[in-house]
Amino acid sequence: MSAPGPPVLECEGVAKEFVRGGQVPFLAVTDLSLTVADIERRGEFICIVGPSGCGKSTLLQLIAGFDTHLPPTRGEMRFHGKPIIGPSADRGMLFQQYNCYPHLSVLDNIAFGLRLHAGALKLSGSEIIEGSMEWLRRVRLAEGDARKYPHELSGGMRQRVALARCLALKPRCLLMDEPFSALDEPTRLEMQDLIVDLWSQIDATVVLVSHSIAEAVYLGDRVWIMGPAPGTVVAEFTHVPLPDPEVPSMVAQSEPRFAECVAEVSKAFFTMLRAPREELVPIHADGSGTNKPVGGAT
Amino acid sequence: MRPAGSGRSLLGLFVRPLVRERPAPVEPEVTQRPEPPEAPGAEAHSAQRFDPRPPDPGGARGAGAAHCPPVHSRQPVFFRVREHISPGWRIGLSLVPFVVALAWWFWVTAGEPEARHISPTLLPSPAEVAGGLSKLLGVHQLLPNILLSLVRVLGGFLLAAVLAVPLGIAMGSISRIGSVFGLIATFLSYLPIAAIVPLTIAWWQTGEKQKVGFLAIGTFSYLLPMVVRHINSVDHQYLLSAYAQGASVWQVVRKVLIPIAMPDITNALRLCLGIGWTYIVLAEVVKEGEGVGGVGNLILVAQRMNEMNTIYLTLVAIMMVGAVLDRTCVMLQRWFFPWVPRGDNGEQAASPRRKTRLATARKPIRGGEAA
Repeated sequence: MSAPGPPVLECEGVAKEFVRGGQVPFLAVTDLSLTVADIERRGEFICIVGPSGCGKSTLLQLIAGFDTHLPPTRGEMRFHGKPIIGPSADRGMLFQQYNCYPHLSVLDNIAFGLRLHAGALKLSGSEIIEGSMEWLRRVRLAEGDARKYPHELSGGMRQRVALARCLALKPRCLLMDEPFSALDEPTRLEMQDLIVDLWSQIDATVVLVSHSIAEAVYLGDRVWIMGPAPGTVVAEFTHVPLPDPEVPSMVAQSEPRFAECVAEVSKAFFTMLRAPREELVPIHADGSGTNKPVGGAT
Repeated sequence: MRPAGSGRSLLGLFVRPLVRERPAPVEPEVTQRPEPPEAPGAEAHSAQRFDPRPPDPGGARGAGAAHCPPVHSRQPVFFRVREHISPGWRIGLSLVPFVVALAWWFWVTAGEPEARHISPTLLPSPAEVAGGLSKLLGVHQLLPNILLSLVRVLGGFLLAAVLAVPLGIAMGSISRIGSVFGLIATFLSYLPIAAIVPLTIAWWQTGEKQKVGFLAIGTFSYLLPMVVRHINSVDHQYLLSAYAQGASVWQVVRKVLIPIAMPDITNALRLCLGIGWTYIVLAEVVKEGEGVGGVGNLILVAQRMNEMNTIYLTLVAIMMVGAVLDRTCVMLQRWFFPWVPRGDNGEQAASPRRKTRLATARKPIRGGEAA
């Protein structure tokens, strides 16, 4: 693949060690080397799976550039060629919960980011409202919900609002930390459909952390498996079926090709869980197309 | 021969439908994932076949013997745990203590003053107390005194709020400011409020300054740690979300941290107003000079004149005013913060429908919703 510009995201040997006064330093992630190329008119969709506590969220927060995590203890991180020095509006972040500001109505939640940057974006008040209403419709919420407060919505609806709030700013990268984990299964599938549909419209790189291998395989162009703490990427899968916006996720996920792929990734995942620590070799996840072996097994 | 499933004991007759013997499992005709036919040379491969299940040590079924018996949890008929009761019952039950207390009061103070269970110098009869009402309102000027006390309490409260809320917000948001004042705030919260009355009199004599100053110090020492705690308890992910949308630190504090903490902070304010209202009596227990008056002084005067009924009535009036203040604050909170879910004010909140109506009525969509 030929990259027209600098890679969207580049990490070189990134490690993060948390030192809290009086406690033993905790190495959360180590040897992270990642490259996400800039593909024209289409962002990549990267899914990260790994055992709990393996540093998936740490990686995401490092990319987001939150000051609780910056700077990395070792290594360099670049976003569109520039070092990551702090959080920025071009990297949206979606958490599992607490995504909607409870004191703002649905519409004001969506408009929150636009209002912050109204001057820079040269938007008038009514344009902001119109833009927010447009996003409200795009995430398939009813217009009557615009004035409701988050506590009046279901969990799935709240995540829709949060998604609209993030996407309204047209970020170049959307970071999602288990965004659908707190939802029930049908809602989760619905949200997957929504993500697939929106992603085909927004031209953004998406990095999604998931605890569900099926979800990762379904949504991702590439699936990274991270090993147990200190976390590092030990396998990268690129031959995963791409979601088709026309096909509902429930249908797509019942196809044999999909099941095979999930089985393959699951197998790698569980092999990795059982492998001794020294056999887990960090890889450079650059999307080079080979499903790299896990745990040194050949 | 017993038919299958009949009781093993007498109890079995009754529980039979629950413990019916299971039919033998039937092999499903179509398995979901048919095993692929094994090729002749596939033994080596199949031996390594991936099996995600952990080895089964001894089997899970071997560990215990019998099923747990079908023991039901039953709620008692009357005293149910976390029962939703109707408003009628709620109001009726809340009147029970009053009725009981009144009955007891009538009983212990019945008859001639000498023959009572409790001497009238300790507890006058209901009729005697009610008879004191006109004197309380007239000679003792209850209402002007209440007003005077209220003004003092509000003065001290506002002074404390103006100082404690911004300082608490700064301490809660900016860690270094929090560190500077944190230790002092901890000390302050253990300040024995009652004991500083003599101090405030020494500083400010007995005038209005002393009253307001005393109440301000007392309220401040309670309020400050609460404001800090409420700012700290705003979930960090709200802040991170705002940072990720490019908000500056100042914007995050102003648009996220403060508004989200505000209902809790107003709860703290409400509590402190209540505390101030109960401490007013302490501040007003001065015998003469300027600054006489107020409900506290009223109690002092009644005590000197040995009018027990006046003391009781004044206490009731103080509590009633406190309750009215509290309810008013709760109503204001509901009006200002329609986004706070029901019951989160620590109160029985408005009905959800009313809540929604408030929520939708307050903020018109600017620019119109036609698009």
